[in-house]
Amino acid sequence: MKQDLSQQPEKRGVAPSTLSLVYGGVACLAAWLFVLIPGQVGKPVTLFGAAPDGLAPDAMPRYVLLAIIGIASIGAVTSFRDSKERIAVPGPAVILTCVASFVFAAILVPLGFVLASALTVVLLAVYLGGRHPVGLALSGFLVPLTIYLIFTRVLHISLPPGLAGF
Amino acid sequence: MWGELFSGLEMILRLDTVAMTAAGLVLGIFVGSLPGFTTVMAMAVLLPISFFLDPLVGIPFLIGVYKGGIYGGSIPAILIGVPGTGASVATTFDGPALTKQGKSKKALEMALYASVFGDMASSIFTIFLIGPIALLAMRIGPPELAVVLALSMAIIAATSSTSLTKGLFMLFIGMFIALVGQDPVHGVNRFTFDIFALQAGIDLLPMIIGLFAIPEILLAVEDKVSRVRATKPEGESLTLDELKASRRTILRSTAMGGGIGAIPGVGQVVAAFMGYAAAKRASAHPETFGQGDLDGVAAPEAANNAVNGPTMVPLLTLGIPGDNITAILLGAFVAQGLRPGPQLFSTDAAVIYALLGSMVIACLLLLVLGKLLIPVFAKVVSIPKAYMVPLTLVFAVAGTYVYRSNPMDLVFLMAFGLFGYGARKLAFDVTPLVMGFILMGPFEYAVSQTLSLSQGNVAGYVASERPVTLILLALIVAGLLFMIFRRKSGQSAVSA
Repeated sequence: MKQDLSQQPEKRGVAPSTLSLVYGGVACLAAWLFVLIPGQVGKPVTLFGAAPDGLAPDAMPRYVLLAIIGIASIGAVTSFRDSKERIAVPGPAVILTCVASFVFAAILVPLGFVLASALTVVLLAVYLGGRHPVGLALSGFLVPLTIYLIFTRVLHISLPPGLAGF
Repeated sequence: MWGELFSGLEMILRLDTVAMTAAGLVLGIFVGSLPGFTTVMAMAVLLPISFFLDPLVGIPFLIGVYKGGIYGGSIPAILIGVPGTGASVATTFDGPALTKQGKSKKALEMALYASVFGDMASSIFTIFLIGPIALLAMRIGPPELAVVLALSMAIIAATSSTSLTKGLFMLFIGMFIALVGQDPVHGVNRFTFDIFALQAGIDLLPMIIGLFAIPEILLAVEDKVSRVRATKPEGESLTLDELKASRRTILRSTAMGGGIGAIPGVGQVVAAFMGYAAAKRASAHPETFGQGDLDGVAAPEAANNAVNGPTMVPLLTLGIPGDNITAILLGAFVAQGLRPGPQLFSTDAAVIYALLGSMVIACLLLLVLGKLLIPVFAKVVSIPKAYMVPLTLVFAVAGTYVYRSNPMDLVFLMAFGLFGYGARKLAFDVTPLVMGFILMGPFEYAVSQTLSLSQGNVAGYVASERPVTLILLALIVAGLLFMIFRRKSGQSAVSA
């Protein structure tokens, strides 16, 4: 279930809430992008100097960025004192999972799907508390191998074969 | 209509379609049975598979995952009181009580029969309803389409489960992300910062997997849930008399769920709660609800599954996905070269009926597979997250990569994943963002066409030749004001 922060006990204070900082940051970013519109939105090709039909390419970016600035400003003001509680900093497990996904992406092609998956799944599973050898063997080797075979032999979807060659 | 309907049914009666629908159902029930793994995540992760298959195989596969996942969520809800998906939260009111009484088998069978009935009735209803609606949709022009798209985005932003400010904020961010790349009217670059990978815009697949799968994985990693004890269904089977006694509840919930499904942005969770509340109100013995009443399982399960069929109506007739599941299905349609909307009915009506027919086939398969595999899926509930989380991560990353073999997709995947994780932490719903991203292109194109048609006098053109547009515009304003009023008076049914 999604949590509704507004249901948390309200703690009034001088420091802005995390939410208002996020809104404020996005409003500033949108304002910066708005300023960049002339340089970041190309000009349409014109025929004999006549303005092209329809909506100009920079019209919708202007409206949308103005809408973001407006709604983010409202959000920053209304949530300023909603809660002083800071957003929980991601723990080591979350950071490790992010790193693991990047490492998996990097080794996917050179090592191949089965070996890269086995390495990533076993290391991550052990870190997350999976110690049962059967569980590790099933999730780390048998499932990736089965997926590889089903994809390549039955569904004809190519997956990187890598070092193992299968 | 009838000719296309029968052609569609002929197209779908293929062994590979039935086999992949069954595979999708099994995968969907499997994921739905795992507490903490949602149907949306399963569909996002499995979406790339559908790209490599024939449309009449790949999309039914995803439909199977969808239906299986919604039903599968009821299994842990009944056995251990932990909903497998948001749609089965209301099932936890009576399901665990029935398990404590040694009637878990009856509860699981009631959930299955109610789910299958609700889903099948709403799917059949959708098949007969969608043709006339598509005929109406084909008559609308760019001004009406622009307003309908704006109306849909406004509804989705307003009904997202947090505040209206948060909903609109996410919607506008999604709309802005869609503006990156080439503009759909003049073909000029926008906000590409001279980065080649941004010139074609941001692809829907890494966004969907990033926003819907990666945050779930990261939250599952954070969430320290103790291992669940393996369990199995106990007690006697459901009798025909018990099923007959719940028929009114099932019919009522099916009608309610079907109605809710046609409204963009509301979805299964609300339908299940409304179905449960209506069953309790109508019951001659409301005091038994929450204590282990079979009607308390039948009502939410019929209602949440009845949503499945009608959610396809706005998607297929107008190209408007009503929720994040249909947004993923839209991704599958587009990747297969089928752009849902009024034109699709004039060019590929038989394919549309074939896909709707596959929903009915999926219901029949769900009945058989659900009945046979209930004891197996009851054991799935106890699989530790330590093994499932890494597997899901590997599948999400590999699925994104094999789609185009473009390393930039992995960068987008993780960027959207971390964005989605932060959004969940701050109680933002990412559904309006995805809707804004998907609908921005058609919206901008429709607005541009309207400006061209009006020849510089939009107000005069709309007032004299397109008065329906004004009525729809008034509906947007009235709808938003109504939502603001409801939220202020603390009566929002969605946040309940």
